[in-house]
Amino acid sequence: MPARFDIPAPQRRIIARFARVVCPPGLVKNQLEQQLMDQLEPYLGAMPLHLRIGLMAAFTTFDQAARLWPAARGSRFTNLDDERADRYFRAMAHGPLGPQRNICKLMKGLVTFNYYEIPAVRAELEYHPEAYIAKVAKRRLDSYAEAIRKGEEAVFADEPGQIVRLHRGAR
Amino acid sequence: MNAAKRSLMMGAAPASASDAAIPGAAPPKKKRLPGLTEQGEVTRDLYISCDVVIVGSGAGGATMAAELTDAGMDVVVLEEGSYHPTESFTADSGRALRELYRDAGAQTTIGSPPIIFSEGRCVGGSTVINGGMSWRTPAHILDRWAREESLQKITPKDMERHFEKVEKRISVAYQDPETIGRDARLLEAGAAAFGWKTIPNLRNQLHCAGTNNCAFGCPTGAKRSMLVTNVPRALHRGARLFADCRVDKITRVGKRATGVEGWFVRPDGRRGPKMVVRSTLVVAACGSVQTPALLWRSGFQSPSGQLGRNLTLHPNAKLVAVFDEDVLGWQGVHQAFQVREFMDDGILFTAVNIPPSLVTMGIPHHGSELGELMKDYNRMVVAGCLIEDSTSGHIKMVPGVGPLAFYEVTQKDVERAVRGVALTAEAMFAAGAKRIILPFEGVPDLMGPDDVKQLFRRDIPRSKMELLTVHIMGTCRMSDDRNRGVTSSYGEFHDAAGLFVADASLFPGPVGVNPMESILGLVTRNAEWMIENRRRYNV
Repeated sequence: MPARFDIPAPQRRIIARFARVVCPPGLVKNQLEQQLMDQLEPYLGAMPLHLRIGLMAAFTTFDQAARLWPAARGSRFTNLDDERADRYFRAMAHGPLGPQRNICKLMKGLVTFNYYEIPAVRAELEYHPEAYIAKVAKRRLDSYAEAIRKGEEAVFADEPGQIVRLHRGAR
Repeated sequence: MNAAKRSLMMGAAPASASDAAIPGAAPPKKKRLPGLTEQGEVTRDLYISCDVVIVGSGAGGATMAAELTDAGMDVVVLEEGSYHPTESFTADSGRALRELYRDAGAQTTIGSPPIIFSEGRCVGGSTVINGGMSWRTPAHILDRWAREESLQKITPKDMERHFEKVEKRISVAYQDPETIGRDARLLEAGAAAFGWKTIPNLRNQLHCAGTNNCAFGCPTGAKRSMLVTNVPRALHRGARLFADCRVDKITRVGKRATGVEGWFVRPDGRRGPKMVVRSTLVVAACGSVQTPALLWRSGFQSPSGQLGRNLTLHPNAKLVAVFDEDVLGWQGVHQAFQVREFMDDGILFTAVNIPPSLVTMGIPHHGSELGELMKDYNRMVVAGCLIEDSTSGHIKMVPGVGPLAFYEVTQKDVERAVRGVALTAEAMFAAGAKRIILPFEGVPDLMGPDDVKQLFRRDIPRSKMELLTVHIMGTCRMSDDRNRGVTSSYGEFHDAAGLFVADASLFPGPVGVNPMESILGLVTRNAEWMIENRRRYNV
């Protein structure tokens, strides 16, 4: 039962910029930014509080740490142009420090995971599992209805040699 | 439960699993399970008593509940997650992660490298979201456990009847051939090119449709998870199940467990009414991370010092093979075959299709490069190799956070992971793959079999590996040697009375195969012992 979570405005701005770097160009071209946020927020809401706080802090740190990256010339990540933003991400994601790399991987995975959950993006890949599920579910029932019925009933059956003692609340 | 409610639930039809959800249709009315109470129905604190309270409704908890209710015991099951019936399951993997998984599936171990792991948090537990592989504990593992931990009645011969019973209950069988997808056939063909031993998977399924949706809840009910087997069986025989109920602690008087205390979780995570259960026996079946945490929170300690230790997790590395032809890996059953040629070396591999969103989490590409690669999603085979751990980690309680898993992959397992990935890559190239994306950061994609030869020789630091798992085991090791184990041969906590453990945390070591059936078999055996010894506990 995930709690509702609204990404705070400062982090929202960072994540939006981050998404334009790590997601395919279709994000901007197809105006999917809002849909990405709509996917991200409930997902973050389902995470434990400490992880959510950690992630928000990670995005903030990623943004501010750009000031220390020489090519940024003191700018935050959100203010970098596309080319430098991409180079900065690469520098962080493939840098020498393990924890830094892992956090970048986590941030990137979080965003790209939610991007590829957008129905329009799935459709563009010609990934239509719902229709397939409906088709094979019907095939299953058409082919094996009787065996399925028997199998489902067997779950409730007594077993050979079993002494069943129903207690007072049994139905 | 009051009489009126009981009578309302009397006669309710069992949830038939054969009513598949029709995509696009209005959400079906939620079916009732008799004896199930969800948080929305609870408006005040509840105080109840019973013979046995079980914390957790997964492989261990549900099986224990079914066995004990069969023997006439009054059983209450408390499950932290919600009840999601078969007809609610869809291919919306994001929703499934949010609703069926603990922490939205975003748990990782602390160590090098961090390993992503998943646990179910819903009625039915991890059996609702696993791949449905059902393998008996290998004989050499059972023999080793019996020998090293002085465990009683656990030889392959002793366990046979328990496994038989379990396999019948959860319909363990081979797949119908029409459900096997192209990705599995390619893996089979690739392995055959080298003459490697490949076996069809035994799965707990009743004419599985091959929807490839196992990890997000089986939308046809064909996967015989606890949700559609032992949970309804136990409920129909009088057990009571409270979903959305988080247990804070096991209550005790001295060293005797007397029940549990917890609270109902409201939809936004708020704390709802209190739940207090008084019982003669308490069974912790919350999985290998949460069970030791519950025992610690309740003040139980193991004099062996082993509580929370011996965590094993079958590290798993996945690669992505891209073919020139359409594979449509999402059309066909999840993991139809396993390549077992290298089982003696602790390596096992298989094809495991996952949705595009999850593919992107495990590969280093980003931006337009990612977009170009993902255009080939329908031409991909995702294959994974499982490594039987050569080491173990531990669980530790971190204030303000909860239990965390600490695990350092050994050099031996690093080498086996590289070898496992390289062997899988060889099979994929033999099957016609044109490009292979590796789970090793900084290592270029493989473009042909010659590249694999170099990979075998390559020294890859563990920190650059992308590993994951869904098999969390150990942490409450059973051993009749009180200096080595947390519980007895039958899962009874050594240093407490009336307290049992019934989940994968009992395992003294990794099983080397998918662990679900091992849990069910072991718990069936332990339940039998509890029933035989019920007078000792006055139940």
